[in-house]
Order: sequence, then structure tokens, then C-alpha cells
Amino acid sequence: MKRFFPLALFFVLFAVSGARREAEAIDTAPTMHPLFPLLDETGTNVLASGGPVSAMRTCGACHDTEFIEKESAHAGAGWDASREKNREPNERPWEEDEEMLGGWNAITYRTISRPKDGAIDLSLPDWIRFFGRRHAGGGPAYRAADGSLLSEKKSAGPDDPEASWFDPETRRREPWDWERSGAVEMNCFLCHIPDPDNDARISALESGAFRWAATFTLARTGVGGRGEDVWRWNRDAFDKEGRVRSDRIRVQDPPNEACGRCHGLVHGDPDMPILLKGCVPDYWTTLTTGQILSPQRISESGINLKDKTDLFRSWDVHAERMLSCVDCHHSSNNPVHGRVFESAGLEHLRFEPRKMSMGEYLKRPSHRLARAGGASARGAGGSGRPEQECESCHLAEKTHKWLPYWKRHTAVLSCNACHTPRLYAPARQTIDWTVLTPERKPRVACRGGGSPESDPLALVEGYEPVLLPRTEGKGAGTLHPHNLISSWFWVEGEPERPVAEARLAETFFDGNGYREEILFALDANRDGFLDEGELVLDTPEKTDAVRERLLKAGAVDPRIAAEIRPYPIPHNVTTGEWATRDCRACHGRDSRLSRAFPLAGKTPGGALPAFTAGASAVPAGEIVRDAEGRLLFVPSTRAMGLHVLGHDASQTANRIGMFAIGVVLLAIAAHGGFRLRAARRRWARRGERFATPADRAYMYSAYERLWHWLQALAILALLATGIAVHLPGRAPFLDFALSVRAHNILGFLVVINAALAAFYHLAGGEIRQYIPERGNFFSQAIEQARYYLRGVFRGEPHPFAKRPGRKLNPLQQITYLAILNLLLPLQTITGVLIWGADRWPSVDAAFGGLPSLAAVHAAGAWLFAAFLAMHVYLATTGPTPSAHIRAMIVGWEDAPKNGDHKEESH
Amino acid sequence: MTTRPTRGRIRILLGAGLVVGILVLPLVLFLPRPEPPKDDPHRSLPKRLPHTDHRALLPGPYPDGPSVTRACLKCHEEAGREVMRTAHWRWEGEPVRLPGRADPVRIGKKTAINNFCIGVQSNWSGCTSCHAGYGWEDETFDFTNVENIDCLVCHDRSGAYVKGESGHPAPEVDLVEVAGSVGSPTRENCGGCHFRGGGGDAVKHGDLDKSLRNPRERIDVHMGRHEMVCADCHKTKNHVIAGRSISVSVDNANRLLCTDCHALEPHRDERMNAHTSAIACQTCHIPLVAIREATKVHWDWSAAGLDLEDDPHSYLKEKGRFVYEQLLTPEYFWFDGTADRYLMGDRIDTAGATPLNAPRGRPEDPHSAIWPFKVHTGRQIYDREHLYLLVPKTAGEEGYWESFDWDQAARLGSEKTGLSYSGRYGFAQTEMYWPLTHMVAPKEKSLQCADCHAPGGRLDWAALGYPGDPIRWGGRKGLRAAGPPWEEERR
Repeated sequence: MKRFFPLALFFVLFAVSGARREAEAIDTAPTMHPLFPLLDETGTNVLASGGPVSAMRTCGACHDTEFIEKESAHAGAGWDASREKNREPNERPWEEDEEMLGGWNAITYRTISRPKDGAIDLSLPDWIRFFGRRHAGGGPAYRAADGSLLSEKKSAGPDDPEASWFDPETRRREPWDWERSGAVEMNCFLCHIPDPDNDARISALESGAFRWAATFTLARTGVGGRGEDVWRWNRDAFDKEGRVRSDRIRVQDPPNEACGRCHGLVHGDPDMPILLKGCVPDYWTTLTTGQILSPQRISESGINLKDKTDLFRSWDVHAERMLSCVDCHHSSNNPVHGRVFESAGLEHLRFEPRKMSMGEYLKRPSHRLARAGGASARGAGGSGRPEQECESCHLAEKTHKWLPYWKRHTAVLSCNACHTPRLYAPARQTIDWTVLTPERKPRVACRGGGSPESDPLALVEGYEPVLLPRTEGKGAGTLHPHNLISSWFWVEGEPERPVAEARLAETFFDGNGYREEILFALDANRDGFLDEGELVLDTPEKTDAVRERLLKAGAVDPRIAAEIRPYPIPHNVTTGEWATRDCRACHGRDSRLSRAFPLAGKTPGGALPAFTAGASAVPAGEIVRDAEGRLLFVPSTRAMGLHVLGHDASQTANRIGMFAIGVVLLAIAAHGGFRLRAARRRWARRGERFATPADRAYMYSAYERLWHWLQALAILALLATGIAVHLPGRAPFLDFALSVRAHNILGFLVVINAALAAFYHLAGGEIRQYIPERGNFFSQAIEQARYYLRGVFRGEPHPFAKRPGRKLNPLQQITYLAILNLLLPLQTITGVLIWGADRWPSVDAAFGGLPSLAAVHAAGAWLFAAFLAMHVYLATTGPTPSAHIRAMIVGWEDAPKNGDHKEESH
Repeated sequence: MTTRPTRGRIRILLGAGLVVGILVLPLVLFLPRPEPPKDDPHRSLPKRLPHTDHRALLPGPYPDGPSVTRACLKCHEEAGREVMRTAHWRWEGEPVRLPGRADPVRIGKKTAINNFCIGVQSNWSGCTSCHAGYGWEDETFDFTNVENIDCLVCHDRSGAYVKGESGHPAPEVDLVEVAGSVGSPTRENCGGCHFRGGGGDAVKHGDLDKSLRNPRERIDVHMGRHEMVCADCHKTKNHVIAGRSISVSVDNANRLLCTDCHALEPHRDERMNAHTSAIACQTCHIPLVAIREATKVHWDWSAAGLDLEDDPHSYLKEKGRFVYEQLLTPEYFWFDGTADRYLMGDRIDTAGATPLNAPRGRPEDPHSAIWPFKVHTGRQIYDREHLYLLVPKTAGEEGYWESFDWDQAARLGSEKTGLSYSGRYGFAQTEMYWPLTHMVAPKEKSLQCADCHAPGGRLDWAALGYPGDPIRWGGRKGLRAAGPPWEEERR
């Protein structure tokens, strides 16, 4: 008895906890499911044997439970995977794989011990007692690693990793009697009946009454309950043939609550406001990410949430719209959801009429549940599960017509990136196992304003998740919202493994609380207590002191390890009204894509955390420490390989561009100033301003003028909208999306106009105007330059007077040639390619993608702007400042007499 | 020389226009146009001029109500004739043909039977304090005399006007002060009668009570958030006020609809817009009524006359036993806007409850929609021999409220109604249906999918004629053919 006290203890606990409740009234509407007897392990009716129910036998009478058990990740917990010895070694030597059984995370901290570990921390029975609350039974809790049934396993002694346990009474490992405890069979009832008693099931597992776990799941159905000291079946709940009455056990599809029992807070009751006790590990995904699955409006919830009354969106639109978890996460061979020919490559068919019949399906429903593609947590049941994408149901293109560059957006963003803009419940931020709180728990912190002390009055603000590229699935590479949980913990030995929880406790505590050495090292104000600021290893002295203690407690070479684990956020989706839809949320200096995401307030032991290998997100960004010593993760769009318009403008290029324009403007100011002064002197000398025109020449044809002004206005508008796209902060009066579209249209207008003008010039021979005179060009160019530097101040005539047959001087010719043959084509090609990012992304990629295209285009724009300034200024260097400009308007220009190099004043 | 610059200038302007035109045209053609708002109800709000101050125009003195009316009519010459054509004055409508009845019938407050205070006839002095006239104390009231019109009950803005017995101004009212205050009707004017239907605040409608005088937006979004008054929706022309109720009218004339101001498909979400073909706006947007004040849901006259402890919300010796309910969840029925009507002398259903105004509507009828109703059940006096409902004399001399003698009340009542009374009376169960259309909640509080589509939701699909929840079985236009996927695509 001594050897196996938990089972006895369990019945005592069970009686005290009052788990035997009156069967609650259950919806008695007729069910399709036939009546069935409850069978025990041997296939005998439990009414006859009085033993515990076996779901494998009971449900197995009709359904292929062996098949289901092998297929279901909920049973397997990665058990198959853990037997594969040829897996790639993980960076963490103590972690077998990324599945439930072999994986490790800082929240639960413990993981099953392996033979190579040397000492056993968590044997298989220990694992079941610790992790069984979130495991549906079967798999590793049913069969030993060699495939034999655990219930027939004999213990090889207190060091048998599959058949020993840590007895907290004796504080020693003892052999485990599997024959007596029985194995934990896959528990169909847990998900498939309306009101399973999960608490009773968990206490059965924790006390080691494994065989009874499924039976106690039925505690609220009224089919039985605790008698004097053992479970007694209630004959009234069965019919004459020994079958359960349908009003006692109604077999059904798993309701959302069934999934929520292990996966997160699910709340379906519209009249009962949601309450949440801080970021405490009652609900897994709610703890890791702050997701709550409920149709309730957030404003109606009971959470003390900032600005709650304005949040009349629901927690999750799919829950609001009456979808249940299994509508998306359906069994992969469910013919209702059958997606056909996805991979069969039969392009000539669109429908497969030869579906599995309902009967076949019900015999062998695979229980490989479709999972969120790419957004799945690490592991989660391995391969072979169909991916469920938003696109499986949604034709998003139909509803996103307002969004420019739709394809580009969906190529780089997951739907959740915009449609899960914020989480409104607190989530874990840091877990620090380098110290233990007086409750022997790690030091934890929450983001989103949640209090780890489960204070329901703490003000919750929620948080904006960080957008990082996914690593898995069809949506790999797209930015997806994540929470990042940073953790610090002691590791020891070689290969390293986390210091066992028991050893940590021994390090920090003796029988009376914190050990004196620990208090001495950490209690800075010597008040005998470790307050929040003291209980953290923020100095080398403190770290060393704890390390000393760890060594004393038997740890080998203890050191602090740190990691960041990203947790993807596939749920808490909202409708367009609440989604991120303001362009400038991302397309601006303060882009949502690169907003710093807090990691931790302190850095225990100075260990900088790194992303876990095989994480679901790419660590695109860097970890920085701010002035107050807090750790932040700053995502980088560059590291994501993105160029986000309006955000990723190269500051260096912009500065150079602005500097160039500044220089041009300064030069213009200086040159213009000198010209003005020189002109004033001449006026004073001669008493007249400008010469009367000698002659009038028809300089520009109507088409030339049209062409010119059209191009001028279009380019000005392009510059304005370009600034609005490139540097939205500088043009807040221009709407971003409108500017993007207008810029594209204007760009094409400029190209068309240029093409027509080129045709005009070529066809009419006017192109000759642009061709420099061969042979004399350089001397003429120098002459023209000398004029601009000297002659123009003296009022000398132009060296190459403008006349209809020769409008351009040599410097103009070379400039225009450069602009028309280099700059304009460059802008056109880069512009069209940027425009084409939506249409032919692969072509863009060949040119280096947006990051290089946008940079070149921006540089070209600066050059164009500089040219424009110069062009306008030089247009004032005619006989009178307005002469050229006037000519470009009316066509006629006052000009010196034909070919005469006369002075201004005759 | 003088014409050239002008011509040149015109050419320049034309040229500039051409350049700008060529530049702007593609922008106009290719830039997406901003979508007009789906719903712009503010456009329909009436714009009112500030009302003339009447204090100087109406100096008085006014010895009685009719003398004020004479003063009003001096300027508003047409008003008298207009009012005399309205239901507010006549308390009866135009003759209407009803299915199942040979002759057209006239129905209105004047002759209708309900299951609250039962009927006006023989009880004029009590009931007509809500008539827009002076001195209706018996069947001899002169409906052709303009001077009997009570202008003040609707147009008083002093708040000091009170009507007494038979609709006369209460003696303490200063008519000069009241007459000087007149203006367009406020919530108080309408509410003075309509909030108090059934003999007290909140009794009758459930969606009309004094909490609407100055409501918070949770109670009524139109009045609370947008500061609207009754007449903003109940638009009035020539004193004919838009709106009707199936308790006193049977035709569909003058009906007021949400879509008079709102778009038929105002939601951003097409899934919600799809609902509007079968669901009245009110169904989702009036999740609860009687939010602040409990409303009467059952009235048992048969229990009257006992010397029990009086409590206006459960028992009164004069009136019998009541059930009141606050935060009332509506009941839902198909409704095409019209109702059957129990008329004086109709045979009652002795086996069950007799509906006095059962709403008409069928799922097959595209003009019917699912509407929210308050259902008021009653037990009221009927003739055991003739098997019809009686109008007892309750108010006034020798009425039931003085004598507590049902037999005498029935006899006195029948003398006025002209329905013969056999001398044997009993109490019959009746039902009245009150379509709910006020107390519209803000959109943030409207119903959500789960309110109807979750198991145990508000709508009883089978009773409404659906094979199952339309979310799975499809809407009323027949079950969607569960065809192969390309059928969906082709649509």
C-alpha cells in the first residue's frame, strides 16, 4: 500500500472535492448516435464487471479506435516521432523533438527524461501525472516505446524511465506498478460528450489512477459515481439491455469548449461576461498569446480593459459567425470537407464524385485534424495534416478592391497581419527560471497590462503583436502576428539540459524558506524579504551567488541560457472595419512593421536571448537594450527583404538628393543674384531696362508647347505624389493610397507623352535640334559655359542665339540627351517595374526586387527635381527673364535679328 | 492692336485648359471613386425653422380651451379642417375591406376592444383625456365643431399644460402662458399620451415610456445619440402624422418604415445585408424593450374587486391582477404590416386565447418579415351566452370602479355599445400583439449571430416555418440546392 498511495488518496480527494454531483439536466433532443453499452478493458459490460470503462473497447465496438488512436495527434503527442531515431538533432540537446512528448518549453519547464539523461527527472508515469491534463490519453500513455502495452509492463526498478515515479513523500524514486494503475487509454469522452468532468479526470491522472481517468470523465453524466470507497455504476442510467440511456451520454461532434479545455479560453455563453485572471496558465493559447475564442463583444466582457466600451467588435469573428473549431480543424478524411485533386495533378477534373461514404468515414475518422497552415505552433502533430488557410474559405480578392497592390500585399502579409491587429487579453512576456519566487515558481511578466498575480482588477490594455515572417506551410515568408516569450533558465552538464526543478528548489530553499546564502546575496535592503526588484539576477554578484548554490546542490557547470520563442496568432480575427486598413500604419516612418516589441525588463545574468531554432517565425530584426536596460526586439523590414513604400526610403540617398537640390538652389541664388546686380548696374548706366525687340520669331509650334507643358505639369505632379509615397510624413496633406494610384497614372501619362513627342521629333526632323554639332561640340560647350559664368553678367549676347532652326545651345543639347536617353528611360523602367510588383513579381525579383528598384527610382526622382530647378532658372536667361517662358506659352519669341550676334541694346 | 492681346489671352487660357484637361482626364478615369456612404439617414431629417414666438400674438385672456382654439384659427385658418380629418381627432379610420368580412369596416380607438381598459364606449370621461379635443364626455360629442379641437396638447412647449376629465384643460392651467409657448411638438407632447397608453406609464407598448423623454443612447439611439424627436420620423404634413399601429388600424396606409430614412441594405457586411429580405430591422436592432420601466405583459380582470393589498405592479382592486416585465425579450412572428382585428360582436375562441389583433404574415409572402412583438395576454369580461367580448362601464358614475359590480358594468356598457347583454358573463383569455419599433439600440448593442443561430436562440425556427436553422438549411426562398461546388462558382 505504501508503495502505491496515490490511488487510495485519489478516492479520498475525490470525495472531498464533491465531484459526485447530481447529473445535470442535459439537452434530451434525439441523437443519431445509437445506444451503446459501456465496456471495460476486457470487453465486458461495466455493469457486470464494475470496472472502469474503456473507451477503446466501448467506442471500438463500431469505430476503429486502434486506427483513430494511431492517427490522432491528440493521442500520439508526437509519440511516433519520438521513436524516430534519425531526426535532425535539435539545438537544444535536452529536447528530443518539437512534439508534446519530446518537446520542452519554458512555460511548463519540464520534459520527459531520456535514457541518455543519466538521471531521471520526469519518468513516463511522472509525465502523465504532470502533462496528462492536456493529453487525451492513448499514445505514450498507452503503449511503451517498444510498442507493448504499458498496462502489462513490469517495472525494472526505481530507475526505469517508463516504470518508476518520484514519490514526494519519501522524496525518492520508486518503481511504478503499471498493472495496478493501468494505462491511460485514449479518452473519446473528453471531446465527444457535452459535459465531461475534466477536473475529475485530471485528479484521477494526478493521483495515478490512470485506468480510471476515462470513467471519471463521466462523473457528471450520472452513469455512476463514488460509492463507499470505489466507483459504482448507476444502473438507472442504463436500459434493460445494459446500454447507456441517451439522455445520460449524448455523443456529439466536439464543441468549442472541448477544444478550449486544453487549448485556450473558449467562451460561448453570450450572457456571461468573460472574466480572466491575469496571464496565468489556465488556458494555453490565452497564456501564450492572449487569444480568447468567443463570439462576445469585447465591450461586453468582464475584463477590466482600457477603452472597453468602444470595442464593440467580437473577440473572434469566426466564433461570432457561428463557426465551431472543428469546422476548420476538421478530420482530414471527413467527406463533408473533402478537398479533392489538390495534389493529384488531374487538371482535367474539378470534382471527385467517388467520395468516402459517411459510413466508411464514421468507421475510421482519421482524427488528423486540419491545422492552421504555417501558423501552427512547432510540432503540433507532425506532417500529414491538411493545412487550413484563410483562402480555403475566403475569396479575399473580392472584398479588397480598395487596397492598391493587392497581390503584393498578400504575397508578403498573412491575412492575420491586418485582421488580427491587436490582442485584448494579457499574454506572457517573460519567464525567468534563474530565480524562484517564494511560491517556488519562476519570475514571470505579462505584456498587455495583465498581472501575473491573477488580480482581476488590474487594468488590461492588450498589445499589438509583432509581425514576423512565418517559416512553415504555404504561407511561409509572409508576415504573421506573433507573441514573443523570452525565457531565462539555468542549464547544466554536457550535453546541457535545464537544471531540474527539484534541484532549483533545493538551491533556493531549505525547510524554512529561502536559504541564508540566497537571502544574503539578493536581499539588498536586508529586510528579510525578496521583493520584486531584488529577486532578479541583474548583477554578476547575484548571479555568482546563485551559481555557487547550484554547484553545492550538485549541478555540473551551471550557466544561464536564454531564448525567445515566437507564438503565432491565428485566431482573434476581426472584420475589415476593425482590421488595420490605414495605409500609414505601415507606410510611414513609425511603421507598424518595425515597431519595437518589448521583450523583458531585465536581462538575468546578462544572457541575451536568441530565437529558438525551428521556431515558427524568422527572427528578422535585432535585439536592443534601451536606455533603461529593457530588452526590445526591433523588427527590420530590410531583414525581411522588404521595401515598404513610405517607410524604407533610404535616408542616405534622400540626404544626398536633398543636398544636391540644395546646392543647385544655392547656385541659382548666387548666379541669379549676381545677374540681378549686374543688370541693375547696366540699367543705371543706360537708363533703360530691356531692348525693344528687333524681330519676332515663331519659336515653338502649338504641339511643342502642348507637349512641353503637359510634361512639365505631369512631372511636377509626379514629384508631389512621389514625395507623398516616398516620405509620407513630408506630405501629410496627400492621401497615401490616392498618391500611389495617381503617381502610376501620371507616370504612364509622361511615358505616353514622351513617346508621342519622340515620334513628332523623329517624323518632323526636329530631332536634329537635339543632336550636338559634330566636331565643334566641345569648344562650343566650353564657350556656352563661359557665357554662363561671365558673359551673362555683362549682358553679352548668347553665344548661340536661339532661333527656330536651332533652339538649343550645346549644353542644353547634352543635358536633354542625357535626360531623354538616360534619366527618363531609367525612371520609366524602374517605375513600371515597381508598378509591376503586383503583376510580375518574378521579373521584379530578377532586378533585385523593390529594395533596389525603389532606391534607383528615388535617386532618379531627386535628379529630375534638380534638373527641373536648373531648367526653370536657365529659362530666365533669355533677352528678358520672361522671354523664353513667354515664348513657350505663346510660341513667338522676341529675338535678335536673324543670326545677328548683337548686343542686347542693339 | 487692342484685340490681339485679348485673343492671345483666350488662346493661352484655352491651351492651359487643354493641358490641365489632358492631365486630369486619366486621373478622373482611372482613380477609383470613393464609394458613397451606404446609408445616409441624416439626409432625411426634417429641417425646422425656428418657431415664431407667440407670446405677443396670443395675449389672452382665455377663459377656456375653445377660446384658445379660436385664437389659433384666426391665423392658422386651415388647421382646424386639417385636424378634423386626422385619427387623432376622429379616433377611427377610413372603411377598409378585411379578408373574411363582407362589408368594409371602420376601426379605430372609438370602437375597438383591447385587453387593457377594454373599450372607450361608456368610459369617455376617463379615456378622452387623451383625445385632442375638449369635452368628449358621451356619444353626443360634436366632431364637427372646430372649437373643440385641442391645439395645446400637441403644441404646448411650456410643459405646464395638463388635460383633465373629458379632455378639458385642468382648472389650474394658465392658458395665456401655455398659448404663448406654442411650437412644434416635442417628445413630451407625444409622450403625454403615448407613453401612458393603457392607463399609466409604460403599461401598453413596452417600447414607449417616459424614459424616452430624455433617453440615454442605450435606450434609444435616435433620441439619445442623435437628439431626435418623435416628429423627425413621424413626419407630419397638414397635421397628418405618419405612422400607424395594428392595435387600432388594420390597413397599411401611412405606415412608417426604417427604410424611409435608412438604406435597405445599410450594412458593410453582405452577410448582414442578406438578412434584410426576411428580417425586419427592428428584429436585430431592438434586442430588448422596457429597458428602464417595466411593461405590463398580463392583465387578469377577473381577479378585480378583492380587498387585497394594492400594488400598481401586481394587484389593484379596481383592475385585477397584473404581471409586469422589465428588460422584456420580444417574441417573433412573420408580419406583413397588417393584422386581423377582433371587432365588436365577433365570436371568441372559448377553447384558447382569442387574439384581438393577430399579425398577418407568412414565410411564403415576400412582403412579410420576422418582427419583434410584445405579446400582452389578458382575461377580460365576455358574454357567456352570446360568446363575445363586452365593454364594461368602468369609469364614471356607477361604473365598475365605483360599484365593483361586473353585471351592472356590463349592462351599462352594453347600453352604449348596442351589443345585447344576456346577463351571464365570464372572463375570456385574449392576446394582443404590439409590434416593437421604438427603443432602437445603438448598433454596438444589436443582436449578434449567436442570439438567433446558436442552439436555444431567440427564434423558434420550426414555429416560423423553417425546416431548420437557415444558417444551415438556407433561407425561406426554398432550400438551396446542395449542388457541386461549380454551381456556386457559376452564380
